[in-house]
Amino acid sequence: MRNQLALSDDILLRVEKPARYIGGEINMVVKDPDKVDIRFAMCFPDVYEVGMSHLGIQILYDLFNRREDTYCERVYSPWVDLDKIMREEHIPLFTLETQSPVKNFDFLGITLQYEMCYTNVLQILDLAGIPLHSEDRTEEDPIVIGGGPCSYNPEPIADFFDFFYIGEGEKVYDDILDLYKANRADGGTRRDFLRKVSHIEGMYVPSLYRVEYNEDGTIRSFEPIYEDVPAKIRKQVVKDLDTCVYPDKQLLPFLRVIQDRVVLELQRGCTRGCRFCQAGMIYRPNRERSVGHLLDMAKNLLDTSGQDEMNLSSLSSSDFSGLQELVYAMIDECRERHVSLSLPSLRIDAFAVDVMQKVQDVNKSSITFAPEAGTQRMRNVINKGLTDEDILSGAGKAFAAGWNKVKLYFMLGLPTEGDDDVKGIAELGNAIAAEYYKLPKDQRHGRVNVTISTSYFIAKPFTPFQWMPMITKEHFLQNQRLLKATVNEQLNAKSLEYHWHDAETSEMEGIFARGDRKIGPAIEEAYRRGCIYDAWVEHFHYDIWKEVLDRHGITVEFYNLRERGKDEILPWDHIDIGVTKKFLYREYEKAQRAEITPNCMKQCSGCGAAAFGCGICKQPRGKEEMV
Amino acid sequence: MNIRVCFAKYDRLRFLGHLDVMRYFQHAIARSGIPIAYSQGFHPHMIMSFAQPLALSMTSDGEYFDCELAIEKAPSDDYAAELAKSLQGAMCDGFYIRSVTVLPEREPNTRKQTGMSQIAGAMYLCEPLPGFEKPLADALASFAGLQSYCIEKKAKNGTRAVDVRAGVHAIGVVKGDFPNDFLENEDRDSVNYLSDDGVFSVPETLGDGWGYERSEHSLHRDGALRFLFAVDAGSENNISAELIATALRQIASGVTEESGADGEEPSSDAGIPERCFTLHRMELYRNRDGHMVSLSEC
Repeated sequence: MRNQLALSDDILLRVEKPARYIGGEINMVVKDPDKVDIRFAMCFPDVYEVGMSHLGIQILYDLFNRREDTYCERVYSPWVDLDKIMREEHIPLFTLETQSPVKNFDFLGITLQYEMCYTNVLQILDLAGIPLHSEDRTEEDPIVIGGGPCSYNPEPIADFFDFFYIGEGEKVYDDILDLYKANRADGGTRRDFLRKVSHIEGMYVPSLYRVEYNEDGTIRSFEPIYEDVPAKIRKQVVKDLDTCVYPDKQLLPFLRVIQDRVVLELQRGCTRGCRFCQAGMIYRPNRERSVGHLLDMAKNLLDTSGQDEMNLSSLSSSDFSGLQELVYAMIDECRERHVSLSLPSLRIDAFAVDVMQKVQDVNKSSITFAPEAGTQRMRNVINKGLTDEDILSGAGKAFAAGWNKVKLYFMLGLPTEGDDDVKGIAELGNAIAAEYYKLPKDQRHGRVNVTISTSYFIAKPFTPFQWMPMITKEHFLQNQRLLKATVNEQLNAKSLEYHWHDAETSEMEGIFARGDRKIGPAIEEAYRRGCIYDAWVEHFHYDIWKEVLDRHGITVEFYNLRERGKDEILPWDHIDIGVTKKFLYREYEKAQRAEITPNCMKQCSGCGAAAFGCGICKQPRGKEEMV
Repeated sequence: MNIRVCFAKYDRLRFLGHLDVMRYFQHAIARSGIPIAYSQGFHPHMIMSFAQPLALSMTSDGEYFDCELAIEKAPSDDYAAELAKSLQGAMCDGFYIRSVTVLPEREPNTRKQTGMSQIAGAMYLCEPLPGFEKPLADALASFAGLQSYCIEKKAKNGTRAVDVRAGVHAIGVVKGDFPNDFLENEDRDSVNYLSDDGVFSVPETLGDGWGYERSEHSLHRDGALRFLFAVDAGSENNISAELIATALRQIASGVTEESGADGEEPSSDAGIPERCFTLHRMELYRNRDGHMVSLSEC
């Protein structure tokens, strides 16, 4: 292993942050590649500091490497400077552990965390010397697998993958690897393997399905080509998080990465059912870890990493039933070790204020709310169970405890949004500032600072809004101007600050999110014309994308601005996440009537996830009347 | 109590920058469980200070940091060795703990002496890459014969000329392995430019001290030609390994002393690229009553 780096010293000294490419981190797994049967390259298609922040890779890395017959190594996107050098000097893409070419591996697993990474996927394949299209690959090439949230609608990139793993990796990866070995022992080909993989529940092999389109571009039929290939691909779910494997050592990067802390995963799934939120639907049912197990895990992670920050990760920490018990136990442990504790997605109430006072510096930190919409009507449409009173009383408690910085997150362009809803955002910001000035003067700490951020609503597959039109970019910009003007009109305008998100990336994200297979060739052409790192504003070339999409007849009107019909076959209909299309449609109708649906903890709304027979679905609660 | 840790940095880790090395040791200390002291305040941090940063791509046997422990005095006589063992247990491949030394207690009313403030000298090793041995050895011979060789160095305000030659106290040349007392042996005054036994050194007086211990981790190509430099280091006059390397490269490329002083880079067709050798730090020294002793001797 000594001195065996894939890049020469000369190159490493020419690129920014060479430590991105050398591996060797704490808790990196070292094996002799000649003594394993399966070599698995695990890829996060973004730069090292982003990829190393991702918990999912840590879990799979640990899972695979527990197998003696498998060596899992990591690979990330070379940054643009190295990308250029690798192309000029024909250096093949390599893994960090053994610094060996990805092309020589049995598998290349790519996690798809956001749509804007699609050109980076092509970059990875291209630099590795693997044909971009699944159909062009030979026995010499690795099997290319996709996973992660974007694999729930993988159609835009279906041509580039051999198969997608739908669901949680802990469930059937062992079966896949065993099958791979058995197939090889029997002299089976790559095609034989893919056919057999399609028989494992949750595995989607795009080349085994045929899509036909109507004249208007919608899907006429989507069917398996062979009888033995399942028509529906069912998401894989881990039933009990306490007994499933979790890495007792997490890889600790040398570089300061985006999430520079160890991560303790409290639970999976969310009980809230916000109608814009894809994670809230695809990760159902909500499953918690036990507090005792979490405390053991936490201790272990801190011992083996030496990290000075720990993050309690979950879609909605406040809904975790053992939160108080866990946090109070952890605060002491962490204080002794000089470890700081971070609790994102915490609802601000008396408990949160108490905890924050103990773990944060009141003078430096801010409190965060994500009301997502400015009026109660709009929040009912999106089923965000947060009221003005919740926000104002939470803010009031935090102000009384000494905070004077508030961050608020909203979306513009939500379905049924009117001008009043836009203005309501500024008014809510103003009301929060006013709450601060209710404090007696001697208890205030200077002026309050309320930061309002807005993003562009993107309709996602497997949400009740999957049928909904998005607003045009122009309309979105108009809303931004309206909001800006309304913010300036507020009584406390001087305490309010407004930030917005760029619209062009979001427009593209909308097209990819609900896209079909017709988009693949456009992604490939954009890549050929130099698009990579689209998720990075400074590397996103809207002009090139616009031109390429036009050339391929991909329109914003068809993918983003159109209301889809109830009976339309959606490109992702063959994926079964447990939550039924019927439930989502019922939610879509309720959204239009601004009716709310209760949290899973209160009562079951019959979404369909109960079929997995685990988590919240197994707990006794009320039942909503079926419509 | 305060301790000084000496460590070696090798292999892939030569591409870790100084800030990342500091972060690495904060984590390693936390894993090792040694009783480090923390600063006061809302965001306490470990009390530690690193000596001279090392340039990217260099390996080293002489890296140092000082840190404060949260105990008054060592609980046992071999406590330093125990600490070294605990720390070594928390290392990843490429980092090696060479020694831990307990620092003497500070005299009352004196300023704290950090490793950084004590540095007075350094020993560097330079190994020409294959193909560049001859031109660089010739350059070295010319360099050795000079009284002074100035290079413009970027400073906080503008540039200033540094006399690299004047800051070099001894030059040694070896082929292959060399003994621990290479610079102190009897032959060191005999000019013997690349003789059969491969030893060459420049006749000059190296002050007392300048001892070093080669680390068991060092790797070199069999029979490789290597140059050894004993130089001034520290805050007053710091001759870095790169400065020496630049001087040799300039001479080998035919850049005159004057044009070199103008900061002109040799053109690439001169045949001597920037990466024509690897650099290694052997040791850092402090001046103890005129003797140069290792920073680990406190």
